[in-house]
Amino acid sequence: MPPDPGRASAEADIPTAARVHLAHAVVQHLAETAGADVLHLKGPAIFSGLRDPERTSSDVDVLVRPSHLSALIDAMEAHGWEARTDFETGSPFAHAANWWHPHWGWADVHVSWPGAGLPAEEVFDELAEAGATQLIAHHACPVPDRIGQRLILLLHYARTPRGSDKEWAWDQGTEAEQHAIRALAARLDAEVALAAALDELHLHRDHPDHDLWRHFSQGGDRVSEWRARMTSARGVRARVRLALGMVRVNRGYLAMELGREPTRKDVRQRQRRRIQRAVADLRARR
Amino acid sequence: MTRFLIPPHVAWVSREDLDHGDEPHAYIALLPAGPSLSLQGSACVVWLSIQDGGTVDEIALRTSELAEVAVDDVLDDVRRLLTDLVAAGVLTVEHAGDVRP
Repeated sequence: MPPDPGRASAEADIPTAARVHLAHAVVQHLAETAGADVLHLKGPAIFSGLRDPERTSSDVDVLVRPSHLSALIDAMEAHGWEARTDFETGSPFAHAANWWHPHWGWADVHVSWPGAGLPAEEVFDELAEAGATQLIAHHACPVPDRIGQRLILLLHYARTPRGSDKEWAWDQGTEAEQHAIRALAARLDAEVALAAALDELHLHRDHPDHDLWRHFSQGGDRVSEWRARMTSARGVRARVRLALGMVRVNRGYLAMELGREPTRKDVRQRQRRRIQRAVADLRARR
Repeated sequence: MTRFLIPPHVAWVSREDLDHGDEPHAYIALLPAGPSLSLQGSACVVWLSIQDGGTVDEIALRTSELAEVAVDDVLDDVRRLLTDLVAAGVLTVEHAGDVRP
């Protein structure tokens, strides 16, 4: 044997990078068991050459076929995953919720990908069509193909324009690849969000989503965000839900922040603070 | 003849996948709920020798080649570790005559 005796330890203190790889395999195993279609996104799911190799991931991101969501959640919760946020309050786009597992850490389950206007089920079909897989922790995990991955990264960059994702996903792509990304964005009704990532929003000035993506790609206060979201929301029901969301407090995030389950008093205080912030933003605009 | 295999309900990563650290290291998990296991140093070298499955002799031979030592020097340690890994549930045993699914 080599000089060291070799060591095996149970319930290992797993480094984050290893834990995220294993957690992808765990979620894939549960999805297969439950018969739920998922696509693994970001982190180790990204093909080499599409992202800065130095960049690490701290959680699992999966896109689930919307009609399979409850099957996946039932399987996850039956195996120790706990919901920490819900879809209504988990993000400004109501597209994802967070689950936590004491061994595997965080998993973000997405039912849609912000920026794609096509119905989420059709978006899933389009991204899954190529049947691509990435081996993660020695398990074949379904992923979008290289063009789909580039678009996913760019749409993410459109709402969080930090880091080198655009450089890797777009600037380093060939002309043919960039053409294919634009074609996929057109099929997914994601052209405005892609334009935000590529600094081409001025080409979509009259689109109802223009202000929303300008807000996310260029920043702004809460008032401009809500005004943009109201303009972008399709239909009366969507606008009512949005208006309710303006004062609703995300109990999951508040619990994480406080380190305990929030009381009614905590929630009321946080609601008051949100309203005070909105008023302050309005005053600052005068 | 007894062969050792990594079953489908086991996930694992090694330093090559993670590209960091300065000694062989593998992290192994039973799906879907754990527990997880960490193998370092020569224990990880043995694990890497198992990935395509094999008998004790085949795994010991691969280990000796990776570690650049004589087979006889590793055989007993390999045998012991295989027994431990089977007990931990991260390896399965296939006997001659068993039909693979």
